[in-house]
Amino acid sequence: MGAILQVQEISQSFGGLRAVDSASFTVNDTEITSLIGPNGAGKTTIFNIISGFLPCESGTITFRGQPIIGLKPFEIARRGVARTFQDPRVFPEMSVLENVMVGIRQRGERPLWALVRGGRVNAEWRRVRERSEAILSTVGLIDRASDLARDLSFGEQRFLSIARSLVGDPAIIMMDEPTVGLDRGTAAKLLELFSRLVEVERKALLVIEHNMDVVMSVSAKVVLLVQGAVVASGTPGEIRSNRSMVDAYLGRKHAAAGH
Amino acid sequence: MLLLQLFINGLANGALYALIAVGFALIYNGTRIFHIAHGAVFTFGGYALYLLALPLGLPWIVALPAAIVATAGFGALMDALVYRPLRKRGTGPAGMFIASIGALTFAQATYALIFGTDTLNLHQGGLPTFDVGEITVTAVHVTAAVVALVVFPALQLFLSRTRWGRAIRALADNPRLAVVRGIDAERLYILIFALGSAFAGLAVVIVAFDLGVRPDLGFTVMFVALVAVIVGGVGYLPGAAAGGFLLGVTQSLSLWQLSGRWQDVVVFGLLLAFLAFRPQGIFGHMLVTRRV
Amino acid sequence: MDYALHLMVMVLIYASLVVSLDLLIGHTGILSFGHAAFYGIGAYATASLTVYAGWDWFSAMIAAAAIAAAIAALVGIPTLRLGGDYFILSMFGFQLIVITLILNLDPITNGPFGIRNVPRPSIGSWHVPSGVGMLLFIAAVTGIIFFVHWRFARSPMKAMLHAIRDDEAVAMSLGIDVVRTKILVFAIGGAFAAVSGSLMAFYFRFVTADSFVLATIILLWAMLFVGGSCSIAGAIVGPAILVLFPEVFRFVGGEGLDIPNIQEALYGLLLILLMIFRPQGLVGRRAG
Repeated sequence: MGAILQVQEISQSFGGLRAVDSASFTVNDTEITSLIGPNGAGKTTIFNIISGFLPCESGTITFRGQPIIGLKPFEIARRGVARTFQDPRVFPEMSVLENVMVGIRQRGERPLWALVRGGRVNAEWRRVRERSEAILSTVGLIDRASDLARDLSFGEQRFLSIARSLVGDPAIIMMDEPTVGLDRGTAAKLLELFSRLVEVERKALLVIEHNMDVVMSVSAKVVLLVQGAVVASGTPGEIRSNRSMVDAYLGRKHAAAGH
Repeated sequence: MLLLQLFINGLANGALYALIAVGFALIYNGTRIFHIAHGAVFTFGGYALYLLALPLGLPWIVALPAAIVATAGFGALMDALVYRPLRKRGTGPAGMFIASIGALTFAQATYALIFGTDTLNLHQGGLPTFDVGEITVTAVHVTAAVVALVVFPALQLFLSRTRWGRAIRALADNPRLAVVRGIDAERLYILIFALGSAFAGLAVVIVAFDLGVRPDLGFTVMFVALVAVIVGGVGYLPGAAAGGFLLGVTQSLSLWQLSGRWQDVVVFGLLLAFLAFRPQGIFGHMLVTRRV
Repeated sequence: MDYALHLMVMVLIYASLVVSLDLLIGHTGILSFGHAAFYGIGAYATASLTVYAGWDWFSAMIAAAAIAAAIAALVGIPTLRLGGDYFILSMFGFQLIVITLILNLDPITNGPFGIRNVPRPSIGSWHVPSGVGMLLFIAAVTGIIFFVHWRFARSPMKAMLHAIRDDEAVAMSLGIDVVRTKILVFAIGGAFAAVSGSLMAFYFRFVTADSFVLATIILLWAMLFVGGSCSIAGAIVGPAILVLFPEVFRFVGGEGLDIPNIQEALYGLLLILLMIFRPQGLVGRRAG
């Protein structure tokens, strides 16, 4: 149960703005780590840097002991770092099942294979389909498998985007504000999914969250980011006892942003 | 002194490319639409000038500004008739571009149907020229230079000092936020298109005297102007202007060694080179702070 | 009868072009303005190799496809890794310079005069006869092209391309090598366009730059969007309508009218109206 992702002293500026400032934190395997902080603190920017969508001026990021800075996003994804985005961004014209199936790399995607062995009945395709159906069962969307993704409710789309990121069997899943826009019942189901992913599937989760109840109840570790820098990091209990500091950074800003 | 003459010619051409490039970039950065039909708006200005000056017989002093205003209006009209319905539909950038190609094609073909495909000359005989040493300077050279020296700083002032200009910048930087802050995007779009098209109008009234007017006048000029935007750095208006001058001079100097037939290839080669090695353009580092 | 045959051939050749254009635009979201340029490269390469270098028709056709694919990869590598707008601009320029190069590389292309006497396809000393023979030959090759695209559309490749088309960032986050795939698809599209160019060269036995100007790519786009993108049927419907409809003019009596520009104006208007009112075309499946 050691560290699976290590972020060390990473910094990145845009124009004159220092978006990430010597940030360091560790994500342990089979645990949920929450990344919290006021709006604009750089949380999504850090996600983008880890997943390869943005460059990183200095510092190192190690995944399973291997450095990943400089790799392209698809390379990082293939190594086992999955992520979701703030919006579910499902592929609207595909069915729910197709959305998930597209997350597995198959030989049938290569033009020559597609031409010669392409169709929908070969063994590889069947394997991919079975795995996708299993994932859909895990997230509870198997009944909607043949529906078009754009016909799903927002909450269902959120689950679909998570399912899609799971099918490549990643070791860590980074989720960007997964509970936003979900009603209580759906959010509870999401938290159940989190525990399944961690305890049964043995994955690590790194979650950007604003909902403090969620953060405090499921996280093994909390990392507080303010203006691009890690200001505090520890168990929920430790962070809570730092209440005054947390409130100072979160409370007033939350109130101002109208949370 | 051939090189110097080519350089001067290049600067004058460059001023024109710069005007078209800045007009296009203003529209592109402000509205995110790849308004390739800008070339047809440019050509419209030429025909407007022709109509105002010749059949209608207006004196140049009236016809020139009137043509520029007409061009601005035509650009705004195109937004109202083509792009606004698409915005209402929620069409993505691909659909916008396809419609823009349609508009360009329709406009060019219509010009050909109305005016014929031959080049229309705006007036007989050569233009006044005068010699400075061994260099020949034409009235077009002078006008282009004056216009560039006056118009670009004026635009800069407009964008940074006036309420409308700042609103355009806000819209360019963050469309959603601008709308939330109460900026009326649709009215701004009209202004952006009118302003960008006015620049095209300015460019064409300068060049129409030299070259006359043809249905596809805007077409190859647009390509060079677009490369200028890339070379200067997408998202940075002064870069587009600089790119225009650079390309004008490069194209002209290339005549020293290559025949005129290869000019397009030179420009394309320059484009590929930039895309391969420096896609953010010369002033790309300015990109993150300013879109317009 | 001869004329009806000619129309059918034109519909088939355009259909073969539209179905490969659909792979690029409809399925992958690559707005290629240069498709007509690859068509031209294919036609000229075929003509040049058979007439000037004495190659047989089949080798020339394959070589033309390979040349087009290579050029597509070369142009695609720097341009497809950047945003769509950079690519559009590059294709716009590519279109322009291919014409320039065709008109000026005289040793290979005979400049503005075009290349004549392209031989008919043949086996041994038997040449495909004009008329119905050529129609069947072109139908066969077009059929093969359609078959390949049909297979692509029923394979996992299609979903992957749609993912790239709909949301590149998400596609990358799913492990799809977006840039490499786009380059590959672009090269494939170019190769198929070149084969269509070969067909054109064999049919007319004469190639000239006039057939590959801006108007051609506009026509192809109009055909694609009238028929509807992401649709095999659309790739036949679009060309059928836009080849047969102008024939109406001949009966209405278009003497003295500038038919080409009227057609251009209509195609332009058609593209605008389609985008506003029916982006999925007649039988297409994507709502734009």
